[in-house]
Amino acid sequence: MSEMDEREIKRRFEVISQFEPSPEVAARDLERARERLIEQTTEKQTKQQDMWRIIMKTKSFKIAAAAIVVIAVSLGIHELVGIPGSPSVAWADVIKPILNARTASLDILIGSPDGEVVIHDDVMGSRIRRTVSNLENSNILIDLEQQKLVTIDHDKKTVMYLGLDGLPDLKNYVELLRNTIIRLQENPNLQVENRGVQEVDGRDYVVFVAHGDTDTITIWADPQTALPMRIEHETPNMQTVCDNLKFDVEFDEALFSTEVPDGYTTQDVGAVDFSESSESAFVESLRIWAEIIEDGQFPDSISFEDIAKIGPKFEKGLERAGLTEQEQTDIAIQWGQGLVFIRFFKGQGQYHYAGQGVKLGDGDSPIFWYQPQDSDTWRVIYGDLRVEDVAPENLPNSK
Amino acid sequence: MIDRQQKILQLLDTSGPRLHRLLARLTRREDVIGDLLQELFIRLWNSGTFDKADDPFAYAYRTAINLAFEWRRRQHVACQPVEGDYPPAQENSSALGKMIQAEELEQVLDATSRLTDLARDVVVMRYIEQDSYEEIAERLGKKPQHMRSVCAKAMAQLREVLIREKV
Repeated sequence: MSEMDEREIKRRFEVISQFEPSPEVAARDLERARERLIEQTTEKQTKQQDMWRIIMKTKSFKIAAAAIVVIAVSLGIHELVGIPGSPSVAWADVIKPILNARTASLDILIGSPDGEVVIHDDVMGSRIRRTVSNLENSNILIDLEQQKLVTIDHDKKTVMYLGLDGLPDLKNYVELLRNTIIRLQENPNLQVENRGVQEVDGRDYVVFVAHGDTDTITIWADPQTALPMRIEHETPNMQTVCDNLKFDVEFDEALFSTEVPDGYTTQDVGAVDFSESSESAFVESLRIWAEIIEDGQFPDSISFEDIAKIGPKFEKGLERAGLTEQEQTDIAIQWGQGLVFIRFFKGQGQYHYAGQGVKLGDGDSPIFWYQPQDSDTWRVIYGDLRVEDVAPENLPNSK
Repeated sequence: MIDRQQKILQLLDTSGPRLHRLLARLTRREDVIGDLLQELFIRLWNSGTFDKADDPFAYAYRTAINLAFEWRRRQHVACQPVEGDYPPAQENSSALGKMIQAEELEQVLDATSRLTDLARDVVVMRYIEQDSYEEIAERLGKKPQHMRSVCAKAMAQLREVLIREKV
């Protein structure tokens, strides 16, 4: 072995510095990067523009199906705890100011920071009063302790209840936010980079960036108080921003009431159980997807953005199926229930979807496969919706 | 949005080859550079901070270093020798010599990954990309003298790590 001195280290670096990838590889990789970037950015622009407009403006789209998408996004802060990620002493200060906070207010933006739809949350204990910028005259109240989502439509004078069963540890949303940051800090694999002070809109912020395998969290904190003012969570498919974070805001408790106003009618539309992120529920969703929504074949994509655009097609499918109002609601909830499986995916690595062009009943075509936690084999779902355990060497080729 | 797309595509056109080469040197795996390059530009596209960066190339460059070392951390198995054009191993071009050299290069890169972000970036820019201290300082918004000092300390740390691991 070489004698280890500075000269030897420099020699090794010099060898590394002389490496040149072959021109063919470079040309191929650059072209692919260009293609992927164009594909991704064009797709994202379209999706971001359409997504919330479709969810919120398709008035007749079943509230149960729409609500689960809203909930999946708005409670996306949960997903931060899944990011592998080293504690940072300075970063630890970010948590201190909110240790005793009882209330909070924040804006949630989906997509680019200048996205057109803003969700505003006022939080008091276990209750969140939510307003959505393009959903006029409606309030959404989320009671995490009661595990209910209440939508009050002031135009139609209706109050709609949707159960949110099986959401863990959600007695206090501020506490959840705090615990999420603590868990991130305690994660031994988290790599946190202190980017120092940056000016945004004339104000100075200390910026921390934490990188996971595919996700990045950026926190802008007040340099004096260490209060986090903005938390940005980027994933390959979506960017969620919690902005204008304020703690211990004085709120009128009446704003958080879930009492039905005089003259309003109520409707209980059932519940989505977040503890039931089971494979079987997902299989049922795939069946509904193929049978009712896509008229006999599986969807081209099951990405979250594409799910958000599904409203009009779902509506037509429900009409085509000739179901009663109650049956339509049940189907919508059942379909939404299965989404929990992929939205809060708990298997190893990533799941794979290959259902594009596959007809329901095609037992030869694998449409979805994933590796459950602590399993050496994979679960493969075929076009006839049977599910088999498959050894890694026998997996279908991922597209 | 369109302007932003054009800005990032332009960066890919002007600086893509250099970023690609940087990723190649830090990973030493031609089979993964393409994926990392794609991931790099998708990250830039998804990043709000990139838009605020005074020097987009410098931001992309640091992101590429981060990405390559994240990839290294994820690798729990020894990397295969790269199939690209390395100069012959010092004093020994036999298969064994190449294997030893490959192992030595992996060790120094793995040791580099344990430095602080700043020290790691400076070492990469100075010794792998062979930038001057003035260029490094400008890219990182620091003073050249500071960069020289960070680099000297980093080399001492690298030496300690490599000696401790008896290489």
